[in-house]
Amino acid sequence: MSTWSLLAKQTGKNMMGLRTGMWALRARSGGIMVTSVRTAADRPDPWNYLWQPGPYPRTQEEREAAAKKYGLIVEDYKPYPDDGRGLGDYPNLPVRCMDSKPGQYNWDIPEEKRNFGEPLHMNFHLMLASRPSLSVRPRYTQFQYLRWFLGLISFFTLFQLIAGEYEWFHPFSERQTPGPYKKKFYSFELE
Amino acid sequence: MYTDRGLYRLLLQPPLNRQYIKCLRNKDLSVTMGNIIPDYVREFNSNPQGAPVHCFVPTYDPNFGFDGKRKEMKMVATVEEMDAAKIPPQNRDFCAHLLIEYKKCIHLKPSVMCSHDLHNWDLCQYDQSTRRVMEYEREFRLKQREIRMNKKANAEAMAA
Repeated sequence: MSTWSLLAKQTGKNMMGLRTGMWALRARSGGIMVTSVRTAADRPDPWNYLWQPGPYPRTQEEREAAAKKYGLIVEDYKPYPDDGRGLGDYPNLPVRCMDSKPGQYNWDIPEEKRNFGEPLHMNFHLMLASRPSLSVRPRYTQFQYLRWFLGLISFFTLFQLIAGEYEWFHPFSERQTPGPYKKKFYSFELE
Repeated sequence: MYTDRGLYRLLLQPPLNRQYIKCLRNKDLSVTMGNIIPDYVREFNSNPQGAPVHCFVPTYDPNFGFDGKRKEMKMVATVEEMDAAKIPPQNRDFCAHLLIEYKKCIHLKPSVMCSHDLHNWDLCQYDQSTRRVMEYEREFRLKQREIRMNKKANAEAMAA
Protein backbone atom coordinates (compact mmCIF):
# COMPACT_ATOMS: atom_id res chain seq x y z
CA MET A 1 0.00 0.00 0.00
CA SER A 2 1.66 3.21 -1.15
CA THR A 3 1.24 6.73 0.12
CA TRP A 4 -0.48 7.73 -3.11
CA SER A 5 -3.13 5.03 -2.85
CA LEU A 6 -3.74 5.90 0.81
CA LEU A 7 -4.19 9.54 -0.18
CA ALA A 8 -6.56 8.50 -2.96
CA LYS A 9 -8.67 6.48 -0.51
CA GLN A 10 -8.85 9.39 1.89
CA THR A 11 -9.76 11.99 -0.70
CA GLY A 12 -11.82 9.71 -2.92
CA LYS A 13 -11.07 11.84 -5.97
CA ASN A 14 -10.97 10.35 -9.40
CA MET A 15 -7.87 12.24 -10.43
CA MET A 16 -5.88 10.85 -7.55
CA GLY A 17 -6.86 7.32 -8.48
CA LEU A 18 -5.75 7.90 -12.03
CA ARG A 19 -2.41 9.22 -10.90
CA THR A 20 -1.95 6.21 -8.63
CA GLY A 21 -2.64 3.84 -11.50
CA MET A 22 -0.15 5.61 -13.71
CA TRP A 23 2.44 5.48 -10.96
CA ALA A 24 1.92 1.74 -10.43
CA LEU A 25 2.19 1.05 -14.16
CA ARG A 26 5.36 3.05 -14.43
CA ALA A 27 6.88 1.36 -11.42
CA ARG A 28 6.02 -2.23 -12.29
CA SER A 29 6.15 -2.50 -16.06
CA GLY A 30 7.90 0.67 -17.19
CA GLY A 31 10.71 -1.04 -19.05
CA ILE A 32 8.40 -3.50 -20.80
CA MET A 33 6.07 -0.69 -21.86
CA VAL A 34 8.90 1.34 -23.34
CA THR A 35 10.36 -1.59 -25.31
CA SER A 36 6.98 -2.69 -26.58
CA VAL A 37 6.24 0.81 -27.79
CA ARG A 38 9.58 1.00 -29.55
CA THR A 39 9.26 -2.34 -31.30
CA ALA A 40 5.71 -1.58 -32.30
CA ALA A 41 6.65 1.82 -33.75
CA ASP A 42 9.71 0.49 -35.65
CA ARG A 43 11.42 3.77 -35.01
CA PRO A 44 14.37 4.05 -34.95
CA ASP A 45 15.07 1.17 -37.32
CA PRO A 46 16.85 -1.84 -35.85
CA TRP A 47 20.55 -1.14 -36.24
CA ASN A 48 22.37 -3.62 -33.98
CA TYR A 49 23.25 -6.05 -36.78
CA LEU A 50 24.97 -3.26 -38.70
CA TRP A 51 27.63 -3.06 -35.98
CA GLN A 52 28.13 -6.78 -35.60
CA PRO A 53 31.64 -7.96 -36.54
CA GLY A 54 31.93 -10.11 -39.61
CA PRO A 55 33.24 -13.67 -39.69
CA TYR A 56 36.88 -14.34 -38.79
CA PRO A 57 39.09 -13.56 -41.86
CA ARG A 58 40.85 -16.67 -43.17
CA THR A 59 42.36 -15.54 -46.48
CA GLN A 60 44.46 -12.49 -47.35
CA GLU A 61 41.58 -10.97 -49.31
CA GLU A 62 39.28 -11.29 -46.35
CA ARG A 63 41.90 -9.67 -44.14
CA GLU A 64 42.28 -6.75 -46.56
CA ALA A 65 38.51 -6.32 -46.73
CA ALA A 66 38.21 -6.36 -42.96
CA ALA A 67 41.05 -3.83 -42.58
CA LYS A 68 39.38 -1.51 -45.06
CA LYS A 69 36.06 -1.91 -43.25
CA TYR A 70 37.62 -0.79 -39.94
CA GLY A 71 39.68 2.00 -41.57
CA LEU A 72 43.07 0.39 -40.98
CA ILE A 73 45.99 -0.56 -43.20
CA VAL A 74 46.63 -4.29 -43.57
CA GLU A 75 49.91 -4.09 -41.65
CA ASP A 76 48.11 -2.63 -38.62
CA TYR A 77 45.15 -4.98 -38.80
CA LYS A 78 45.36 -7.91 -36.40
CA PRO A 79 42.13 -9.74 -35.43
CA TYR A 80 41.47 -11.36 -32.10
CA PRO A 81 42.18 -15.09 -32.00
CA ASP A 82 39.27 -17.22 -33.15
CA ASP A 83 38.79 -18.92 -29.78
CA GLY A 84 35.00 -19.02 -29.71
CA ARG A 85 34.42 -15.67 -28.07
CA GLY A 86 32.55 -14.51 -31.16
CA LEU A 87 34.68 -11.41 -31.76
CA GLY A 88 34.97 -12.29 -35.45
CA ASP A 89 37.05 -9.87 -37.49
CA TYR A 90 37.11 -7.07 -34.93
CA PRO A 91 40.68 -5.64 -34.78
CA ASN A 92 42.89 -6.18 -31.75
CA LEU A 93 43.96 -2.58 -31.19
CA PRO A 94 46.70 -1.40 -28.81
CA VAL A 95 45.60 -0.22 -25.36
CA ARG A 96 45.59 3.57 -25.24
CA CYS A 97 43.91 5.18 -22.25
CA MET A 98 42.75 8.79 -22.26
CA ASP A 99 45.52 10.01 -19.96
CA SER A 100 48.12 8.90 -22.50
CA LYS A 101 46.49 10.93 -25.30
CA PRO A 102 47.40 14.61 -25.72
CA GLY A 103 44.80 17.03 -24.40
CA GLN A 104 45.89 20.03 -26.55
CA TYR A 105 45.36 18.17 -29.83
CA ASN A 106 42.29 19.31 -31.78
CA TRP A 107 40.23 16.16 -31.46
CA ASP A 108 36.98 15.77 -33.35
CA ILE A 109 35.39 14.46 -30.15
CA PRO A 110 37.34 16.15 -27.35
CA GLU A 111 35.23 14.53 -24.59
CA GLU A 112 36.57 11.12 -25.57
CA LYS A 113 39.85 12.33 -27.13
CA ARG A 114 39.24 10.57 -30.44
CA ASN A 115 38.63 11.46 -34.08
CA PHE A 116 35.67 10.69 -36.24
CA GLY A 117 35.89 7.30 -37.93
CA GLU A 118 38.70 6.13 -35.68
CA PRO A 119 38.47 2.41 -34.82
CA LEU A 120 37.72 1.87 -31.18
CA HIS A 121 39.27 -0.68 -28.90
CA MET A 122 36.87 -3.41 -27.83
CA ASN A 123 37.14 -2.22 -24.21
CA PHE A 124 37.11 1.46 -25.07
CA HIS A 125 34.57 2.11 -22.32
CA LEU A 126 37.20 0.97 -19.80
CA MET A 127 39.69 3.58 -21.08
CA LEU A 128 37.55 6.68 -20.63
CA ALA A 129 38.69 9.45 -18.32
CA SER A 130 36.33 8.32 -15.56
CA ARG A 131 38.20 5.02 -15.39
CA PRO A 132 41.52 4.42 -13.61
CA SER A 133 44.40 5.48 -15.82
CA LEU A 134 46.44 2.68 -17.39
CA SER A 135 49.44 4.88 -18.16
CA VAL A 136 50.39 5.44 -14.52
CA ARG A 137 53.12 3.16 -13.25
CA PRO A 138 52.36 2.25 -9.60
CA ARG A 139 55.04 3.14 -7.09
CA TYR A 140 55.18 -0.35 -5.60
CA THR A 141 54.53 -3.76 -7.06
CA GLN A 142 51.32 -5.62 -6.33
CA PHE A 143 53.23 -8.09 -4.16
CA GLN A 144 54.59 -5.22 -2.05
CA TYR A 145 51.10 -3.79 -1.59
CA LEU A 146 49.81 -7.20 -0.55
CA ARG A 147 52.70 -7.66 1.85
CA TRP A 148 52.06 -4.31 3.52
CA PHE A 149 48.32 -4.92 3.70
CA LEU A 150 48.63 -8.35 5.27
CA GLY A 151 51.42 -7.18 7.57
CA LEU A 152 49.48 -4.25 8.96
CA ILE A 153 46.25 -6.24 9.28
CA SER A 154 47.99 -9.07 11.10
CA PHE A 155 49.89 -6.64 13.33
CA PHE A 156 46.72 -4.89 14.49
CA THR A 157 44.86 -8.18 14.81
CA LEU A 158 47.60 -9.67 16.96
CA PHE A 159 47.80 -6.50 19.05
CA GLN A 160 44.04 -6.57 19.61
CA LEU A 161 44.07 -10.28 20.46
CA ILE A 162 46.81 -9.79 23.05
CA ALA A 163 45.91 -6.36 24.47
CA GLY A 164 42.16 -7.02 24.36
CA GLU A 165 42.59 -9.60 27.14
CA TYR A 166 43.54 -6.84 29.58
CA GLU A 167 41.47 -4.06 31.11
CA TRP A 168 42.51 -0.43 30.91
CA PHE A 169 40.51 2.29 32.60
CA HIS A 170 40.84 5.61 34.36
CA PRO A 171 40.94 5.83 38.15
CA PHE A 172 37.58 7.45 38.86
CA SER A 173 34.87 6.66 41.35
CA GLU A 174 31.22 7.04 40.37
CA ARG A 175 29.82 10.30 39.00
CA GLN A 176 28.91 12.61 41.86
CA THR A 177 25.31 13.27 40.90
CA PRO A 178 23.00 13.07 43.94
CA GLY A 179 19.94 12.23 41.87
CA PRO A 180 16.34 12.03 43.07
CA TYR A 181 17.26 9.82 46.06
CA LYS A 182 19.69 12.44 47.50
CA LYS A 183 22.75 10.19 47.46
CA LYS A 184 25.44 11.38 49.87
CA PHE A 185 28.93 12.40 48.79
CA TYR A 186 31.75 13.62 50.99
CA SER A 187 34.52 16.12 50.54
CA PHE A 188 38.03 15.33 51.77
CA GLU A 189 37.91 18.29 54.16
CA LEU A 190 37.02 17.75 57.80
CA GLU A 191 34.14 19.50 59.52
CA MET B 1 62.68 47.37 7.33
CA TYR B 2 60.46 47.09 10.35
CA THR B 3 60.78 43.55 11.63
CA ASP B 4 58.41 44.18 14.52
CA ARG B 5 55.47 45.00 12.28
CA GLY B 6 52.82 42.77 10.74
CA LEU B 7 53.21 39.03 10.86
CA TYR B 8 56.84 39.30 12.02
CA ARG B 9 55.48 40.24 15.41
CA LEU B 10 54.18 36.69 15.81
CA LEU B 11 57.71 35.34 15.34
CA LEU B 12 59.14 37.77 17.88
CA GLN B 13 56.55 36.98 20.53
CA PRO B 14 57.52 34.69 23.40
CA PRO B 15 55.77 31.28 23.44
CA LEU B 16 52.27 31.14 24.90
CA ASN B 17 51.89 31.00 28.63
CA ARG B 18 50.95 27.42 29.39
CA GLN B 19 50.43 27.86 33.12
CA TYR B 20 46.81 26.73 32.88
CA ILE B 21 47.73 23.56 31.01
CA LYS B 22 50.48 22.85 33.55
CA CYS B 23 47.81 23.04 36.22
CA LEU B 24 45.78 20.40 34.38
CA ARG B 25 48.87 18.23 34.05
CA ASN B 26 49.08 17.87 37.81
CA LYS B 27 50.75 14.58 38.64
CA ASP B 28 48.14 13.76 41.26
CA LEU B 29 45.39 13.93 38.63
CA SER B 30 47.24 12.24 35.77
CA VAL B 31 45.34 9.12 34.84
CA THR B 32 48.48 7.01 34.72
CA MET B 33 49.34 7.93 38.32
CA GLY B 34 52.99 8.35 37.46
CA ASN B 35 53.58 5.27 35.34
CA ILE B 36 53.11 4.01 31.80
CA ILE B 37 51.00 1.10 33.05
CA PRO B 38 49.52 2.30 36.33
CA ASP B 39 49.57 0.21 39.48
CA TYR B 40 45.83 -0.09 39.75
CA VAL B 41 45.54 -1.37 36.15
CA ARG B 42 48.24 -3.95 36.78
CA GLU B 43 46.60 -4.93 40.03
CA PHE B 44 43.15 -5.19 38.46
CA ASN B 45 44.42 -7.36 35.61
CA SER B 46 46.31 -9.73 37.90
CA ASN B 47 43.71 -9.78 40.69
CA PRO B 48 40.30 -8.16 39.94
CA GLN B 49 39.35 -8.24 43.63
CA GLY B 50 42.37 -6.10 44.54
CA ALA B 51 41.40 -2.89 42.72
CA PRO B 52 38.07 -1.11 42.18
CA VAL B 53 36.71 -0.84 38.63
CA HIS B 54 36.04 2.40 36.77
CA CYS B 55 33.08 4.36 38.22
CA PHE B 56 32.76 2.06 41.24
CA VAL B 57 30.49 2.83 44.22
CA PRO B 58 32.54 3.31 47.42
CA THR B 59 32.06 0.39 49.82
CA TYR B 60 33.99 1.49 52.91
CA ASP B 61 32.81 3.84 55.63
CA PRO B 62 33.48 7.38 54.36
CA ASN B 63 34.89 8.53 57.72
CA PHE B 64 37.11 5.49 58.29
CA GLY B 65 40.73 6.51 58.85
CA PHE B 66 40.00 10.22 59.29
CA ASP B 67 40.52 12.24 62.47
CA GLY B 68 37.02 13.66 62.35
CA LYS B 69 33.95 13.66 60.19
CA ARG B 70 34.22 14.53 56.52
CA LYS B 71 32.23 17.44 55.15
CA GLU B 72 29.17 16.41 53.21
CA MET B 73 28.82 17.93 49.74
CA LYS B 74 25.88 20.31 49.44
CA MET B 75 23.76 20.69 46.37
CA VAL B 76 23.24 24.41 45.72
CA ALA B 77 20.93 24.29 42.70
CA THR B 78 17.42 22.95 43.19
CA VAL B 79 15.72 20.50 40.88
CA GLU B 80 13.31 23.19 39.69
CA GLU B 81 16.18 25.50 38.73
CA MET B 82 17.96 22.70 36.89
CA ASP B 83 14.76 21.76 35.08
CA ALA B 84 14.22 25.38 34.08
CA ALA B 85 17.82 25.67 32.80
CA LYS B 86 17.54 22.31 30.97
CA ILE B 87 20.61 20.85 32.68
CA PRO B 88 21.18 17.30 31.40
CA PRO B 89 21.28 14.51 34.03
CA GLN B 90 25.04 13.96 33.71
CA ASN B 91 25.65 17.59 34.72
CA ARG B 92 23.29 17.63 37.73
CA ASP B 93 26.17 17.46 40.13
CA PHE B 94 27.60 19.83 42.76
CA CYS B 95 28.69 22.24 40.00
CA ALA B 96 25.23 22.61 38.51
CA HIS B 97 24.65 26.06 40.03
CA LEU B 98 27.77 27.36 38.24
CA LEU B 99 26.60 25.85 34.99
CA ILE B 100 23.24 27.55 35.45
CA GLU B 101 25.04 30.85 35.99
CA TYR B 102 27.03 30.34 32.82
CA LYS B 103 23.93 29.44 30.83
CA LYS B 104 22.16 32.50 32.18
CA CYS B 105 25.13 34.64 31.17
CA ILE B 106 25.33 33.37 27.60
CA HIS B 107 21.59 33.87 27.31
CA LEU B 108 21.91 37.55 28.19
CA LYS B 109 25.34 38.43 26.79
CA PRO B 110 27.67 37.36 23.99
CA SER B 111 29.33 34.11 25.00
CA VAL B 112 32.85 35.59 24.87
CA MET B 113 31.90 37.81 27.82
CA CYS B 114 31.04 34.75 29.94
CA SER B 115 34.48 33.15 30.10
CA HIS B 116 34.67 33.95 33.81
CA ASP B 117 31.58 31.89 34.60
CA LEU B 118 32.74 29.11 32.30
CA HIS B 119 36.09 29.06 34.04
CA ASN B 120 34.41 28.90 37.44
CA TRP B 121 32.40 25.88 36.31
CA ASP B 122 35.51 24.32 34.81
CA LEU B 123 37.44 24.67 38.06
CA CYS B 124 34.52 23.14 39.98
CA GLN B 125 34.53 20.17 37.59
CA TYR B 126 38.28 19.87 38.03
CA ASP B 127 37.86 19.71 41.81
CA GLN B 128 35.17 17.10 41.39
CA SER B 129 37.43 14.98 39.18
CA THR B 130 40.17 15.31 41.77
CA ARG B 131 37.75 14.13 44.44
CA ARG B 132 36.75 11.16 42.35
CA VAL B 133 40.36 10.16 41.74
CA MET B 134 41.09 10.54 45.46
CA GLU B 135 38.11 8.34 46.22
CA TYR B 136 39.53 5.75 43.87
CA GLU B 137 42.95 5.91 45.49
CA ARG B 138 41.39 5.60 48.95
CA GLU B 139 39.34 2.55 47.94
CA PHE B 140 42.37 0.99 46.26
CA ARG B 141 44.56 1.43 49.34
CA LEU B 142 41.88 0.15 51.71
CA LYS B 143 41.37 -2.93 49.55
CA GLN B 144 45.10 -3.59 49.50
CA ARG B 145 45.17 -3.14 53.26
CA GLU B 146 42.34 -5.63 53.68
CA ILE B 147 44.15 -8.18 51.52
CA ARG B 148 47.36 -7.69 53.48
CA MET B 149 45.52 -8.11 56.81
CA ASN B 150 43.76 -11.26 55.58
CA LYS B 151 47.08 -12.73 54.45
CA LYS B 152 48.67 -11.98 57.80
CA ALA B 153 45.75 -13.50 59.66
CA ASN B 154 45.91 -16.62 57.49
CA ALA B 155 49.65 -16.96 58.05
CA GLU B 156 49.18 -16.64 61.81
CA ALA B 157 46.38 -19.19 61.75
CA MET B 158 48.59 -21.60 59.76
CA ALA B 159 51.48 -21.07 62.19
CA ALA B 160 49.27 -21.61 65.22
